[in-house]
Amino acid sequence: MNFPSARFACAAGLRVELLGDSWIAYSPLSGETMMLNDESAAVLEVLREAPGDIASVSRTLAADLDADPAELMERIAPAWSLLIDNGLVVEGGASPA
Amino acid sequence: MTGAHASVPAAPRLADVSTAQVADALRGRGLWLDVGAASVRARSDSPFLAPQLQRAYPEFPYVDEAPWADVHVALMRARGLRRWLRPQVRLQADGREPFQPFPADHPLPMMEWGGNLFIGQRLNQLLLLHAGVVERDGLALVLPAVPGSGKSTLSAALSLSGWRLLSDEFGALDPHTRHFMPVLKPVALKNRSIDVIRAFSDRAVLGPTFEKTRKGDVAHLAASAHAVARRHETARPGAVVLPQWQEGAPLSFERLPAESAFRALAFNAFNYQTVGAPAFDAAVALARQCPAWALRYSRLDEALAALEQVWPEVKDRAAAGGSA
Repeated sequence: MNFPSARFACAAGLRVELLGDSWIAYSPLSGETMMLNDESAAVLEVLREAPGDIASVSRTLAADLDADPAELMERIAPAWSLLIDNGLVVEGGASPA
Repeated sequence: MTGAHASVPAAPRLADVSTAQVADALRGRGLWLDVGAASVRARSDSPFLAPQLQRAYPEFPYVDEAPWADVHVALMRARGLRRWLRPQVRLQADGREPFQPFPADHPLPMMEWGGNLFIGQRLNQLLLLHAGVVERDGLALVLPAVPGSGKSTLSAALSLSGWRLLSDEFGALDPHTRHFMPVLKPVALKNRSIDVIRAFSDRAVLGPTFEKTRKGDVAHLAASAHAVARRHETARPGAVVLPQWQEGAPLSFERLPAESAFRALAFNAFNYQTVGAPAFDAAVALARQCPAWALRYSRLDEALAALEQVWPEVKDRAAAGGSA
């Protein structure tokens, strides 16, 4: 799967909360509230620390999980697209406060 | 800003003034109904509305002049030739007529639906959950549900069983203080619920039954004097219960995860999108703070007994400050 190499960040003001076993996110940018799977929440957690692209996020997660970066990229690719499509992750966006 | 201070302390009850006086006010500057979080100003030339309001809002103060109202509605008799063939009443607010005309003798249900519509659009300083809310021990029992779930019937039964009614329709949560505010309007009972509540308690004060409205037969349960007197008192979140009335169903009362409570609260609210991030924060806090259950029932006595049984846990949890 190919993704542009631009850097991405969490949308300004993004809220991510863990309720019970479920992640819930709200983007002021889109006004959307989304229930997130673990992959999406993990991507947002990495992007909260520093903007990046899918490759750098995959590398960070792979290092944390002691996994293969290529496999992780395949695994988070659907989440990556959804997060961008729903305005939770934006190109060149600011890191959340 | 709300019209929370529209009432005059020494004002007589609406039930205590003459119908002619109420009708005069409606024909003149209007009648102000301070329902807690909002104030509604009604004007009307319908001869039917004054006695209907006196039965639906008997304990509310009679106020015929106030500096502010959040919602202004006018219920006027339809003009033109059709008025002789089929008398009708129209609801007007802000130059709009959101509904088709109702039969001339149905101004009260039209006013109630119109009032709810405009309250739902106006009070965007509050997160308006689609929920009944009752209070005991200073704690709100929140009953979010879609129409037809028995939310109003259960709210009515609770209000006749020692709980203070805040609303059968609006869970009006201040996103900053995280307290619930009353939007104390009459409980709109529909179809079989009318006789159910009439049989449930001889203290139920019901207004006239309006037959064959667009929602079936409708009658309004008047708020008690106690609830009216305390309509500016807020309640802290206590518990969330998702009611579902189902004919003949055995009682089912199951604990819900916080995520399910969040979905029921946020995705069923009137103005969640409009309020935005504060609404998300408030709904998350509410779901985290309150224990939640799904209640399926066919008998009110069983439903109320189930709620009584868990209430000590609700109080204990609130006293401990709530937990995820």
